[in-house]
Amino acid sequence: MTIRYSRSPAGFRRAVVLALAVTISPLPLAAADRAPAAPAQPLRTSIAQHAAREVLVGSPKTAQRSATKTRAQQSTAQSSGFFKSPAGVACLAVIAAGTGFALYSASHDRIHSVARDAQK
Amino acid sequence: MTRRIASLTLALALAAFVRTASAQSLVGQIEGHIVDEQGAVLPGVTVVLTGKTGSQTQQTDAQGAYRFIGLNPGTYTVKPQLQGFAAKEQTATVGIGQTVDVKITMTVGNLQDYVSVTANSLSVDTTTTKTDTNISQELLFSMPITHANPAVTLLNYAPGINNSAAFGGASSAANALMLDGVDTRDPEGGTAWTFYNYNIIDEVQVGSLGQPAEFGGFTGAIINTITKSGGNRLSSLAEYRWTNDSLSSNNVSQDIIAKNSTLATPVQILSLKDYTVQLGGPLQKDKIFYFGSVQRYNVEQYNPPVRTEVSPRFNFKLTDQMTRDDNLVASIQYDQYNQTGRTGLIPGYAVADHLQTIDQDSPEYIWNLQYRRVFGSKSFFEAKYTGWWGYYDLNPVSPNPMHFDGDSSHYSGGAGYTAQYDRTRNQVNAALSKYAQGAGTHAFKFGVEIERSTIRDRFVYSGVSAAAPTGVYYYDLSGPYMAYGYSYDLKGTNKRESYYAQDQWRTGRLTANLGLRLDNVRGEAATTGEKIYSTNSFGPRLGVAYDLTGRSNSVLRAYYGQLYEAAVFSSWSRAVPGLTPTFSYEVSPNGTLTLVDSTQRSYHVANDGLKQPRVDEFNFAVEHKLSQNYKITGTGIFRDWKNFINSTLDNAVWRPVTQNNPLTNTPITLYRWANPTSVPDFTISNITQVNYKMADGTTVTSPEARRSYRGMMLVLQRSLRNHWQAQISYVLSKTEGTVNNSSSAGISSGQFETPNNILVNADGPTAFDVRHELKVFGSYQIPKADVLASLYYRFLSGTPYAANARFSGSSLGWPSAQTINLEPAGSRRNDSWNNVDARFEKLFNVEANRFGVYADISNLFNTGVVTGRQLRYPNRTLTDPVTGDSVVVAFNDPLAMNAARQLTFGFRWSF
Repeated sequence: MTIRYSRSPAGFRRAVVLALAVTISPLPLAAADRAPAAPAQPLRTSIAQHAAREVLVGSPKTAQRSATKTRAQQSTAQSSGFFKSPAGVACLAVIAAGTGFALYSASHDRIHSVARDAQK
Repeated sequence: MTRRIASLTLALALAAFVRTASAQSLVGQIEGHIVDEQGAVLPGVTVVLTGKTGSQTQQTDAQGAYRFIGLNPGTYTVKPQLQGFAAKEQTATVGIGQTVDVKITMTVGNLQDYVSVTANSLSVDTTTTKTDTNISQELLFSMPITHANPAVTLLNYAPGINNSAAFGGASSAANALMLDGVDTRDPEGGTAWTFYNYNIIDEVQVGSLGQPAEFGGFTGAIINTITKSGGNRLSSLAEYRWTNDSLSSNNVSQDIIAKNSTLATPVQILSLKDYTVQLGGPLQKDKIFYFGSVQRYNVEQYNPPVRTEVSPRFNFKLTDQMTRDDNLVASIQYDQYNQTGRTGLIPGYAVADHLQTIDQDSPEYIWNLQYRRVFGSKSFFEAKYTGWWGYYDLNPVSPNPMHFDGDSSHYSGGAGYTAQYDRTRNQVNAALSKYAQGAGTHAFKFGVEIERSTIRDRFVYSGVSAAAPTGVYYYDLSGPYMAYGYSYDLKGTNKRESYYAQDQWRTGRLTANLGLRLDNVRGEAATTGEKIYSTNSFGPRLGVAYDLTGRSNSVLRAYYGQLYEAAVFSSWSRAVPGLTPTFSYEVSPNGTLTLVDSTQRSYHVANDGLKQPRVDEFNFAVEHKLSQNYKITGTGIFRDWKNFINSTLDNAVWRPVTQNNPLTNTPITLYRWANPTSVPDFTISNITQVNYKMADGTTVTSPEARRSYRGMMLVLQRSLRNHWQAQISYVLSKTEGTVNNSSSAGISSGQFETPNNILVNADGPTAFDVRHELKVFGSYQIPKADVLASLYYRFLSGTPYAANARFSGSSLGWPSAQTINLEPAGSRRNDSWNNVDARFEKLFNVEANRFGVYADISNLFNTGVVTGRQLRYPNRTLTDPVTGDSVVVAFNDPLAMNAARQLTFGFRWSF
């Protein structure tokens, strides 16, 4: 026997509405690349590639144009000057903040074993 | 010349088949042939393989064949080049231990002509006898998975595995949990020890049936997790996950509360703040790469009582592609696991406040050093030094001893004890893989593993004093107010050497997977150096696979193997010195303790000639590719466990006594120890049957110690096409016997020490027997909205249970009370469980940056399922944690519930 009991507090309902609003709203697409070795492609294609594989074929000219465009975009992320760009600075800032807080937590939140300290 | 090729034609011309490279464990390979449009082989073609750490080149041989071996899992491009032909580039993804067969048909044209193809990876492996589930990073990204303990969570997502019990294996303890080749389990009992960041996973392989000789130390399943590495491309991830109690629901009905008010507060996460930041890239292009990850996992949950975990985790990996053929990887993880609110002697449902709980301090380091050398395209060598160090200390918040009032069933005082568990584990692996030809093709692998693990367990009750040197806990039960105490300090060392040889031998459409594994496992008492435990095991692994049609779309498999358990301290720890006597005190009204008894706890003795517990497995399977995107597999499974390790009480004499079965109100025959002694002789041995001597000179023989699993598994897979993919699995199975499949029942219990737990209602379905299991996973990419929706549905039959009662030690002549079944084991079933977890993720890109906002909903329909019932007949008295009142819970009434619906938000940025 499965017992079903449902009550949706107001906070949960608001959160569901917010989640749906965010997911339904379309946003401008731009070339993207998550797969480490494949060149960046339009979002729909990249989603298709990411989860499993479908056979895709394009004309060589199209592929070359696409490859040239994506290589230019890649170079933005991959050049040695990336960390001086706004995106790079933001990336470093996030990493520094996350690492710093984790280090702080490792010290501040540490539970010291009373038994082990007494054995020292 | 512009070339337009119909996708269908190209799909026929290009075939990428994925199969298992049983000669390889954590690495894979890409091999294939290059042919022209007429099908003639093309020798001398330059084949460039490019992955995240650079490129390597080979030329096809006279048969137009090429092979790249020793590849890390990941995505690669294969680009053959030959003057006079159009250049082609095919993308292929190599999973853990996989071989991707990429055959490319080159067409006449200019090298400037260019065709890019991404191959379909849904294929039938016609050479393996393994049943593995590979989960790529991309799939992990989209699955609504609990992040708390990734290895265990991912294990339970695979068909045939539930409650960490795989195909009848012991829950939690029988599964090998490998992280980059490191066995991360506790060397004491084989359960999970180290946790890690979900986001450092690159790929996961869950292996269950038909495993080759290179894998050992488990009788359930094996999960291989490969962690991320750096590459030539800079990559980064920042993710934040969050939820709190306002985003959880209540799935406890008034009916449940009326039967057990201690369940009124639903199981829920009160707060979750989990973030990860990662960065990986090259230090020197094509040569040296780094990867670093930092996580802070902070969760507060009610389960009960309220537990809080704060775990900062740091990972760093360095990869050095020293030469074209030499690869060196070094990595280290530090996890500082801090938990408050853990329970001690006072059960969770009776904890009144945090003073009655335990604080846990458990840091650990995991290290890994690996070297790989590739010799051309036919051989490679791997050597690894891996290990970890850690401890977990349990310190009571209040130093006061625990008191239990038998009249009111109230607990007071503190959590009651201090415990310290220290561990180290070091392992050296070396293996040589070689491909050869002779009466077909061979993929040989020879390897050796050397393991050394140390275990130290310390325990002492609270309230240590001169009068009570081991501390005490107080027990007030209608009579003298008593206190009891003991402590222990046990130290042991596990030593293991394993050797294996295996061959994947292909002749035409038939492949034989042959292997042999030898394990020598020893256990030594660390204080004396005495060797207490020693086993030698020979485990054959024999499998055949036959390509039914010759077109690699249908295969028949059969497999027989003997799989042995890992080296675990708990099998022989009772034979290690370090136990103090058990002290009994009378407590006077002013609290003074008066020693009334001191019983030296005897050491068990381990038999010579012990055999390592094992499972004999036979399975057969048919796998068939129904179409381009559909594949179905049916498997029949037969597993029988052998060599259970248990303990017996030699020279004991028993007398049958008739007591009343309160459930049926009829007589029940139990057994009383007729010749008790203060220094009993327990023997640790392999149990088949036990002959119990009766006081009248007769003998009563126990049922055979056994556990068996019979199952049928069907899996239907659909690869991604038209925006959706799915997998459906159904398992019909039966696990039964006289030895349960809880974590320790088959390797370290005392079930056979008295007749009462084997002669009385012991045979039947085991604790984790799930008769029907249905799992469905699906994901759909909503067009235009660019939203990924994933659902995971599970239906599980209820687990079995039986009514029991506690019979006093005095009535049975035994030092402690015994819990005995009042009806056959597994007579009843818990409720079946329907559960849906969902994830909705909106993805959007800004240049090379990818952003995702997602919502995970666990228990989408907020179903309330009773996951455990009160088994004591006629009832049991609990304490309401909110009111402090006594709550009488009748037999069969609810004792535990599943977690309520919870919504968790996440945000991530990656490039």
